[in-house]
Amino acid sequence: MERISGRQIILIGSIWVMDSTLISLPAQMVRFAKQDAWLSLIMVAAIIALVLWCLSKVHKRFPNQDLYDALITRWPRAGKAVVFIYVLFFAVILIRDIRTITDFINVSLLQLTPLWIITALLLYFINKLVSGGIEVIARMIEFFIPSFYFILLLVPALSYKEFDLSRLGPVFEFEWYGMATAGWYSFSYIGEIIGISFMYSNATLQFRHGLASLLIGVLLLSGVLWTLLLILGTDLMPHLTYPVYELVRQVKVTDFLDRFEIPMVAIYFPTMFVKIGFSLYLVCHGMNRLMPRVPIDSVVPAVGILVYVCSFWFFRDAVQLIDFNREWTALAIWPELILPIFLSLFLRPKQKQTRPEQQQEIKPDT
Amino acid sequence: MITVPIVLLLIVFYMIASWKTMKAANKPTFLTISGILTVSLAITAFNQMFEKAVKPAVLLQQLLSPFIPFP
Repeated sequence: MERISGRQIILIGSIWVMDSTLISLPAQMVRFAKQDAWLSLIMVAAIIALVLWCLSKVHKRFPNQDLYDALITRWPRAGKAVVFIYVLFFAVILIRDIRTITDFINVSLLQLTPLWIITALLLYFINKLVSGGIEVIARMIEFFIPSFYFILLLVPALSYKEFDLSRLGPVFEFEWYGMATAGWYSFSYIGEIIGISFMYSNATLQFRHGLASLLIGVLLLSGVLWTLLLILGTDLMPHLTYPVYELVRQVKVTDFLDRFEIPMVAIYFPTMFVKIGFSLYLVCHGMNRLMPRVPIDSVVPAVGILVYVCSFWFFRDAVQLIDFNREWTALAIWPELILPIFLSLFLRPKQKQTRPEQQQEIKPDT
Repeated sequence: MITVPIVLLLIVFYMIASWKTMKAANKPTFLTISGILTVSLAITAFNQMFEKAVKPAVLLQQLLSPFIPFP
């Protein structure tokens, strides 16, 4: 059996929270919540912590099984329907992430390259990654994710001269409706962390691992939001498609490193590829649970081609893809919030029942 | 924009790259892979013919938009 350590699961969870969220969501959040956007992140994190607690309760009842296994062993028919819903959910995340990163690469680095070539190259790499199994992907994150976090922490340190503290005010004027709207937009992204409970089968998923990854992700995201607010401000940010990229472009470290965004992007892309790899793995893993005679590694390239096609079919353009965040939460709230709560209440192992005659036979003759 | 020839080319590359796996695959695996590839081709053809007509994300936006309490 392939194994993932507790440290790896913390890193995986944190990239589920961070990676796609960083691309364009901060602009949407600041549009509604202004300087309090980071507070709406904390509100969402509190709800997701409850979801993780519910999932860890389910895992305790089914030791050494991931959620797919637990569902199918306990409810052979209804469990398969729930597994199918989760496979669809992760497939949509996969399709959205591939299209998002393709558009971002097209805008930031390869303006003249057709989108279909960028996506094909991307999926070829991710197919190779996932065919190696989950252990290979999990080992890859151990280098790239700490480096990415280091660079994220470096950005405010290098750009502190541009900070304007007045942009964080008014501090105590909370606009609750705006914060709730920003929370609605970010919920589906932060809630993607539930993916960890579908890949962790070698031991029981512990709540503290899930909570640690959620906290790391949300705190780093809040740090990025503060930096964005301090440098770009609430007036400019909502008009930017890729605000974090614009922020990094502001950083200039001497003449030698005046294109600081290139090393930053070079570290960011592998983490995003790993996240997409995990989504692809979860889709194929779910299909394998639905059709046990179909091995994961055989089906990965075919699913890759289907995802490639769907990434062009699903969305009209990059703007429509970003606008879709509003409606996507209405769908994502079911697998991310309602189903985990339902499963924590009703998904329990079968209790062995003994008939009354058997109980009498077992009684010792006293 | 992707077209049917591009997807066909990718499928041919995929067949060549995974020929040994395909030969050794059992019947359900073979059927699943063939099914997924056929669906991919059908989606591409549909997308090419009616590019401006149906986009699932746009359709979902139109369906769900009235029920969402946030702007």
